[in-house]
Amino acid sequence: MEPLEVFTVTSPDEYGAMKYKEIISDSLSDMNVSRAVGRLRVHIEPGEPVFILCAIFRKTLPPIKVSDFAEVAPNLRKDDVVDIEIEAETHVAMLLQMLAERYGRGNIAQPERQIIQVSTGDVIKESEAIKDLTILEPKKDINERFLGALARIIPEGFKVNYHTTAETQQGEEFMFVASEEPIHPTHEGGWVDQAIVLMKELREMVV
Amino acid sequence: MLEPVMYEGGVYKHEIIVELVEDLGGYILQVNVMQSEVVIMMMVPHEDVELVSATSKKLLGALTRAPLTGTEIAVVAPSLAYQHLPHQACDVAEFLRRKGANTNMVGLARGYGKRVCQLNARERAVINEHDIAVIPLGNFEDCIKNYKVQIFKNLEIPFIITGGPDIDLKDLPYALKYVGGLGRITHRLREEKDLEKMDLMVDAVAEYVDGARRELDMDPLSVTPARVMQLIEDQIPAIQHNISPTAVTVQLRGLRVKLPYDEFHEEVGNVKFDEGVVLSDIADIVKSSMRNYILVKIRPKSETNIVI
Repeated sequence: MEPLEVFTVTSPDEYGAMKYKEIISDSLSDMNVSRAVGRLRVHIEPGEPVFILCAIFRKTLPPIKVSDFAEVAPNLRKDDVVDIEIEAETHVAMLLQMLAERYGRGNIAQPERQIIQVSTGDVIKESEAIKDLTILEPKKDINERFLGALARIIPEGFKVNYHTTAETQQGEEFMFVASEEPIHPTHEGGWVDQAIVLMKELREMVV
Repeated sequence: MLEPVMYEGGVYKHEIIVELVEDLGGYILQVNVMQSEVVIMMMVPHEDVELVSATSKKLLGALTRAPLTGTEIAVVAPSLAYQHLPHQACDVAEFLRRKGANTNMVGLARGYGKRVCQLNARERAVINEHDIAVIPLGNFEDCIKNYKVQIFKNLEIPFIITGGPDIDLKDLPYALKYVGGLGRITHRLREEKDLEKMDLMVDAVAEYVDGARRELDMDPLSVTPARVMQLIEDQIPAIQHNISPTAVTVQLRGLRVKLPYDEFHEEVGNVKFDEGVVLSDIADIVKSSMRNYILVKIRPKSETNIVI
């Protein structure tokens, strides 16, 4: 799925819909999540009033662990030191921060650009633990940023909201309904049902 | 009649302009020094504008008419959330300031939404203390026409609404004017078409202000607010310690003195004029709803029978 291969905003108020499209695209790019969303459909009924947003996210990268970009092994000469040999420097800053939190800043040394040494008691156990340390969870990061963008997009007065998420083959689906009136998810033909129909159409849309 | 003008030029020798305007019987309302540049807002006697303009040219500065000089305008944002601030509302305020106005941003507690939107008594009182209000609203016609405009209907001052769609003023019975094409946005207004709309908005405000000034000529105030400002600055030393950029803000029919009411209202009321009257003889000194400031409402000639 390409980034934003479907992006439509519909409303009986055409001018409002056009302007809302600008607002949404500004907010998504401000929060740097435009590329994470594959399909996006928004429907606004100012008369009701209701705001419905359906999104299908693109598949994101799996969580990045230390073993993905570094070799971790006990030091051969010193009994209480674990060596971390960095292969790609992208995540080093985050790694150093996490190691400092876990072992204390005094126990971390970086004698060379590519090598980090951690002083610890049980080197075998700790070197395994360091290998499994998750440095970055792209999905969590994107979800947080998308929710940040959503908070800017939805009309300020629409404090009542309802949302669902679902994992599908296409990617994660997110459905959001907001209004200033009570939302009844069980009402037949209600706003939530409308959102479900929109999501189904979005899922089946051929691009 | 005093003409509202703005001088923009270098700091070097700008005192010449200040002294000239004071000698001509005009008033300096605000001097903003920004590094080596200076912007002076002033009221100059109509017949002397050309003389001041010629002097400005000699100093390599420029004198332009700033129709909103000497007015205090409220820019009312429906909430303080990201949806309503900073974009659009702050841009509107900035454009008004460029034409000489003093603006106050009023963020409503519950101005958002459709059915739930409201304007409480204190907010209404704060807005009513201004000369005119500009209310930037959103992009949906139904929302502006049938809901938002209703909460402002009890304002005592005129208000101008800006919004996205083109709406006929007949559909907004309480508004003085409506400027379309200025709805909710999430970026700064930089494009030419946006700036044109901003100019329309400023023109609408200026038209009202000019009209109000003409009306004031028919039944003039007992004293020009700018003169009161100068006397307050001369006679109340505490005003010099106020760090606000406009410690005394001039309005069309009075002024706002940014000093605590309880401590200073008598002192303000006792400001003496050379003609032998004190300020409380020709003006009402009341407590402002904004913080604890003092509001001076100058009475017209028809009430006091004097013009000084």
